[in-house]
Amino acid sequence: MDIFFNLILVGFMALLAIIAGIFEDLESDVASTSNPNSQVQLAPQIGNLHKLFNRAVSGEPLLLGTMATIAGSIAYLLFSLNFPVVLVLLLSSLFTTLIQVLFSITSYMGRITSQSLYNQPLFLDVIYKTVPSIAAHAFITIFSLTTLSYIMVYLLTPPVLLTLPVLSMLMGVTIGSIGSAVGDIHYGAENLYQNLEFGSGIPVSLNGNIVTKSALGSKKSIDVVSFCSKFAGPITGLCFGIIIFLSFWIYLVFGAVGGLIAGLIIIVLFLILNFLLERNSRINYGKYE
Amino acid sequence: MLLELLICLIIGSTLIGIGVHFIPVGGAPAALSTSAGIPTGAPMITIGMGITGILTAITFVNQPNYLIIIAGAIGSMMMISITMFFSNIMHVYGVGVPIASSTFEKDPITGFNQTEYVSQGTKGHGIPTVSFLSGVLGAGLGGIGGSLAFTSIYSELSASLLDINLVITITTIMSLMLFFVIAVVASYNIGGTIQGFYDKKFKQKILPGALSCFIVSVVLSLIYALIVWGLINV
Repeated sequence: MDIFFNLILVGFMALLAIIAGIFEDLESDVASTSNPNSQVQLAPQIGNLHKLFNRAVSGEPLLLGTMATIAGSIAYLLFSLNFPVVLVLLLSSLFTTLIQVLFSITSYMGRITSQSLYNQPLFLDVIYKTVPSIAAHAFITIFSLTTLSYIMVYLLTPPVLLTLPVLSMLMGVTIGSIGSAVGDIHYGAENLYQNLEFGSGIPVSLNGNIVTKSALGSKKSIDVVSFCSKFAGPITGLCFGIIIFLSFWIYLVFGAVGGLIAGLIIIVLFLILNFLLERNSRINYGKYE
Repeated sequence: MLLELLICLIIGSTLIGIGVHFIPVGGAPAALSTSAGIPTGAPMITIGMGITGILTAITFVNQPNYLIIIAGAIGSMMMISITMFFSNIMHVYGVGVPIASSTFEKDPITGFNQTEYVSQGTKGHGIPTVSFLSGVLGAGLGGIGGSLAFTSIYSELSASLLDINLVITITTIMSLMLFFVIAVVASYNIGGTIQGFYDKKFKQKILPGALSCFIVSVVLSLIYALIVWGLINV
C-alpha cells in the first residue's frame, strides 16, 4: 500500500513539475530574462528601438533559485507557526511573487534608462501591460515549485532528508537551468527573428536585427508569450517533469541497484533517440541551401 | 580522518572541473541557433546536473559509499541526457534546423558530414551524437566528483553530529558550492563555446583547465576541511 501511495505521489510531483516548467519558461519569455535577451539588449545599439520587456540581471537558474528559496523560507516559517498547508503554500508564493514583480519593474527601468544613449525610450504602458502577466506566470511557477518541495520533504516515504528552503532552492536552480537550456531557443532563434525564413540558424551578422513590429502595432512581450506557449513552454515542462518523474520512479519500482541499472538503460535510450532525431532531421530538411 | 576528507575533496572537485570541459556548451549564441551546444552557460548547466546528482545521492544515504557515488553519476547523466534531447527537439521542430556543428568535419560515431548542414554565418545548431556522448561522460565525471565530495563530508559529519537532517543539509550545500566555484573556473578557461572531446579546442584547453581546477580545488578543500573540523569540534 505504501508503494502505491508513493507512486501516486511521484505522479503528482511529475504533474506539478510539468506545470512549473511550462510557466517558468513562459515567464522567462514574457520578461525576456535569459540568453535571448542579449538581442533585446543589443537592438537599440544598432538602431532598432523596441517595446519589448528587458529584465536580465542574472541567469535564469540563479533568479529562480533565489525566488524559490524565499518562498521555501516563508513556507518553513509559516509551517513552524502551525498555519494550514494550503494557506502556507498560497501566502509564500504570493509574497515571493511580489518580490519578483518589484525586481522586474526596477530591473526593466534600470536596463532601459541605461540605453538612453541610443534613444531607447522607457514606455510606461509596457510596464502596465507586461507586469501583470509576469506576476501571473511567476505565481504559478513558484506555487508549483513550493508544493513540489513540500511533497518531497513532508509526504514522500522515505522523505528527501533536506529542509524545505534548501530543497526548494535546489528545485528552483534545476528548473532554471532546464528552462534556459530548452525553452529559450524558441524565443531567441524563432520568435525574435520571424523576419527570417523558417529553417535556418541566425547568422552573427544579423545579431540585434530583431522584429519590432507585429501584425497590429509594435511587437510586445505579450505577443512573445502567446507564440512560445504553443511549443517551447510545454516541451520545457515535459523535460522537467520527465526528469523529476524518472529520478524517483526508477528507485521506487526497481529498488536501489535495479534503479541504477534502469537509469543507465534510460541514458542509453535517450542517446539512441537523439541519434534517430539527428538522422531524421537531416533526411527531412536536407543540406543548407 | 581529515586528511582523507581533504584528498577526497581534491579528487572530487578536480573531477568536476574536468567534467565541465566535456559538456558541449553553446552559451547565448546557441539559444539563437548561431552556435552548436547546450544553449546556456557552462556553470548554469553544471549546477543543474550537479543538483540532480546530489539529490539522487541523498536518497542513497544509507547505502554503501560506492553506491552513493554511482547514484550521483547516474542522476547527473540522466538529467543532462534528457535536457540535451529536449534541447535538440526544440532545435529540430521549433526552429527547423538539422543538427550539425562546424567545429569538426565528420561525426566519428555516426559518420555524418557536418559542414554541409550548417547554416551560413553560424557555427552549427543542436547537439550532434558525439557531443551528446561527451556531455553524458562529462556529467558522469561531474556526478562522481560531486557525490565523492558528498559522501566524504557526510561520513565525517555524521560521525559526530546527531541530527541527520542538519548533517545532510550542510553536506548538500557544501558539495553544491563546489560545483558553483569549479564550474566558473572551468568555464573561464573554456572561454566561449566548446563541443565536447572531439572539438579541436578541447586538446588545447583540457590540460590548463585540469591544472587550474586542481589548484583551486586544493585551496577550496583546505577551507572545507577547516569548516568541517570546526563543525565537529564545536
